[in-house]
Amino acid sequence: MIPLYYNTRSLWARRLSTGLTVLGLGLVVFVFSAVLMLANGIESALASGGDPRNVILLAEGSTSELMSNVERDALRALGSAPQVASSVEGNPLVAGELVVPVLLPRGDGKESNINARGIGPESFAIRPTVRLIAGREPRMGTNEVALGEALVGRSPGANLGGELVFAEERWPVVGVFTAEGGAYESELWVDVNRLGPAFDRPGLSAVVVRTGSEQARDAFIKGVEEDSRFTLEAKSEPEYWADQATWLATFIRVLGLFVSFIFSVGAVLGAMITMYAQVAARIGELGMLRAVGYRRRSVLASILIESAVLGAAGGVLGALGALATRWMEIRTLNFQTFAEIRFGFTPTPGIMVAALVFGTLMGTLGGLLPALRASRLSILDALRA
Amino acid sequence: MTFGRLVWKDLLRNPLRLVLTVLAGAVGVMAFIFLRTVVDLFYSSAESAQADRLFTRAKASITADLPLSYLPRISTVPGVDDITFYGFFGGRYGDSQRDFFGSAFVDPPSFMRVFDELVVAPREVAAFQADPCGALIGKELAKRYGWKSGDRVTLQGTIYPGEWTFNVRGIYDVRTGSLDTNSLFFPYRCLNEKLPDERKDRVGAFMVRVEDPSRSAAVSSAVDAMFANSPYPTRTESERAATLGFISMLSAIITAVQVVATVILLIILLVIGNTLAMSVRERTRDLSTLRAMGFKSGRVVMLVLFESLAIGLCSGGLGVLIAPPLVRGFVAVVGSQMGGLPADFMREGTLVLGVLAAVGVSLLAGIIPAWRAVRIPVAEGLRKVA
Amino acid sequence: MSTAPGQEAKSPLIRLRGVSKAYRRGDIVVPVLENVDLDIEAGAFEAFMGPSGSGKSTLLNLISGLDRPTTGVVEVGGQDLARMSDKELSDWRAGHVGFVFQLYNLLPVLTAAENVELPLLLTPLSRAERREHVAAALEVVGLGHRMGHRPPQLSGGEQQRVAIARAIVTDPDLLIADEPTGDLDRKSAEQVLDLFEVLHHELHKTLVMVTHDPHAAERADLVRHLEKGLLQ
Repeated sequence: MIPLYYNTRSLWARRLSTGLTVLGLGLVVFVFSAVLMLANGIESALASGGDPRNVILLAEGSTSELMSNVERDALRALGSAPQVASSVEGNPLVAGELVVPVLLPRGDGKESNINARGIGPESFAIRPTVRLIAGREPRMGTNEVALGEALVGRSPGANLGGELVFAEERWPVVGVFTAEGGAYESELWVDVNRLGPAFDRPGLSAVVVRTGSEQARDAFIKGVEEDSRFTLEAKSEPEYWADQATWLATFIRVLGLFVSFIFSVGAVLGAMITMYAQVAARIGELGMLRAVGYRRRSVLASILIESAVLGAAGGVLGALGALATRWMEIRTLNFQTFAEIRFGFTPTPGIMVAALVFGTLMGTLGGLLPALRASRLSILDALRA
Repeated sequence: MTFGRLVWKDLLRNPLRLVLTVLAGAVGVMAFIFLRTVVDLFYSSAESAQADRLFTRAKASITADLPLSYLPRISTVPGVDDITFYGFFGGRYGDSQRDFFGSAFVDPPSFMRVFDELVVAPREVAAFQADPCGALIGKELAKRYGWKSGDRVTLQGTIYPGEWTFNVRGIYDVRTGSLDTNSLFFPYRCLNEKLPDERKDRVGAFMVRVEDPSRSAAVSSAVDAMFANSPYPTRTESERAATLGFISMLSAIITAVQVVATVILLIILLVIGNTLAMSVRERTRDLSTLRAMGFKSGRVVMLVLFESLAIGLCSGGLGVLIAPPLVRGFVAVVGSQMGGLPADFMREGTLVLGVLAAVGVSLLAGIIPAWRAVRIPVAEGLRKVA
Repeated sequence: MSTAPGQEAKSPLIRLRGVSKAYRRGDIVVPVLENVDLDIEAGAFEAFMGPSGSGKSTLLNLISGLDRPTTGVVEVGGQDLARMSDKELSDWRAGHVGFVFQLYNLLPVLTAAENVELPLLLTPLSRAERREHVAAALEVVGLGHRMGHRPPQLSGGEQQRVAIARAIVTDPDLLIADEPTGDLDRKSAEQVLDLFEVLHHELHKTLVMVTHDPHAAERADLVRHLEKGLLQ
């Protein structure tokens, strides 16, 4: 084999060309991995809102809390199921909740749709991932709200001790909570018995139940489906939230991957230009290698490896660049929940590997024709050059 | 031998490289046009929104509804020419996300009056208005499922529980405007009669046509003022403002697409810059010879920049040629998964922007190579072997 | 053609019979070598001279397995090169021939030691063995102290000596030199030629050299002249 350091040093010898090409490949890999990280970020932001022991019950046919209408009568009946876990005080962990999108003014004069969640006394206990980081829980029977951490500062008055105004009423902020990055962080929570009347919504959107274990959960879901008293659809909480992410994540993935594909064509051409130049500039060297006894195949492999190195360098650069976007966060409207969600670029080892493979593949593809040309050179012509 | 001919000859020194560079540039221009078109797509509904139409909904929340009893009161507001209403039904057809399409209940006669951009055969209009559970469906939607007049369509209610069956009575197209042709409309009566009392006679929004579009703002305030102290305060905006408000909530996505469009310009910059850098490097001696003969540095810089410009123009031209079929292909493949996209949205302005971007980027790409060409002293350049 | 007297019994290292070579330039066939017979004994040091276009480089290419004859037999060490595939030729060259070119043909991005090591990478030698061989070869050409330098940091004469080290590092039977002094000043050329004599006399290498330089040709045991594709 022709030693690898011959390739790496030859690339280094033409630093400008190599650098520009690696940068181009890197940008493509950057877009590619950023898109995957983003789609993954949306999914994990929404999906991490779910606890596997929790069950969300919606009206039959509804896909989202926003559209669902559940009678209040269901609450008591569901709470008496044997699989339902109990709070420290011995109350069943069941809550009737109502979700209403609220239009809040933003600092920049525009508006955001924020989901307000009307909660029951056990809503916090049902979701151990939701933890207050400041202030206290809103008291039942009052207009007090707790803000998801993502909402702090998003609207005038959206901070601890501040006051929000919507539905012609005032809502003092008494607490701020996190939800391990889940969608609840983009919500505001308030007593359902205050939120419902404010929006003239006597019913509930959903009933949330915490079961004793995942087995109990499955038994509970089965029980609800078989019980003719209910026309409800039961889903585990993670499943429910994962469904809410599909449209937006698909949109970003499809668009992003399509764009990455087009970009990659450009970058492969760029790599090809560079590798053709590398071969052209080193014809004499390649001829000598052949004269000394290296086979055509070795020359082919050498040039291919060189272009793969070029691509891998682009891959590393792009992946590192994409990793640097971790601190960025994006807020946008989720069409499915009609509310603003916050998410970030979430890398996974799989995405990083894919980025490196993608970069290497682009480089190798770009080197294919130049490598074939190099291996087909006649030794004598090459030595004469 | 003219200056132009010198540029031409230099370009053709390495035809393979020229072709590859132009191809890469064209691919970039194409991607740029594609992304700009996606951005245009977001704004297109806002631009085509009717100026003389107002949109009145509950102030509290997008999903909150309003009592139907507001309709006669709004009609009395001075300047209101006509009024209709609609309610989001959100029916589900099939289980997968790609089967989703918009469905809403309307009052057929007034709906057809206020949305006069709808094109429906007169015979079908009559049939739609006569059937209490008739449905008017969009052209794209009809094509997607092969539905025609007389077919029965059953939707699973998401907001209104149960299964709802409608008879297709007509197929509409739109002349222009914000309505897509992927929706299903049916008469209010069909739903209202089967609802429990507390959900009866509630609508999602009122659409008001004003006599004089320039008085839209005044009419809007008058409507909102009328209900300010009622249990259901309203919020009235022009159709355009409502759409723009919706788009602003998506601004992060639009920004992301714009960032990516800028990235593609950077990639083109790198590819063209690389080619020129190579070509200058290989011609160090030739260019030094020109300078030795008396060519001024500025001339040599021009030579390189003209080459760059030529590559940019070729890339831009080729990109503009291949972009429209690509975008159409993408929409054909993906559009239906996204709930339908309008068929014709490619704009001349975007194509022109693509060419301008290519030209600008190519000139930028030529700067460093041109500088390198005149940087080394003539005597040293003359000795350089490639 | 010529054979030294008294060595009839021993078969020559290089044996050419009826070798012709013609190149096609478009529709015209240009004959370069015509019906050449040639024997070169193992351990000989021979020089070929002749004007440009006389076919001496082509002859060298045929002997070293870089090219194949149009007709005729080229046998080196008993093997018929004309019948070998491209792959077999590559392997044969790696094992049996060392090259010295007019323009040295060193890889500018590699150090002297790495350049010399290149042919060894085609052998099964271990890393340590390779290092030993490289050091020995560079010692022979008197450049043991410049192992880590790259070609652009060396003078022309030094570069050519590195090339010679590369040629001998695999201990080949045959050394092929194409205008080895063509690009060198007098003093460097003499050093290179001295080195050839050492290789010839002390290491008993077979050397075949093409040259324009009468000083270089003088050093050979035998000088052959080529004229218009014919061996004089």
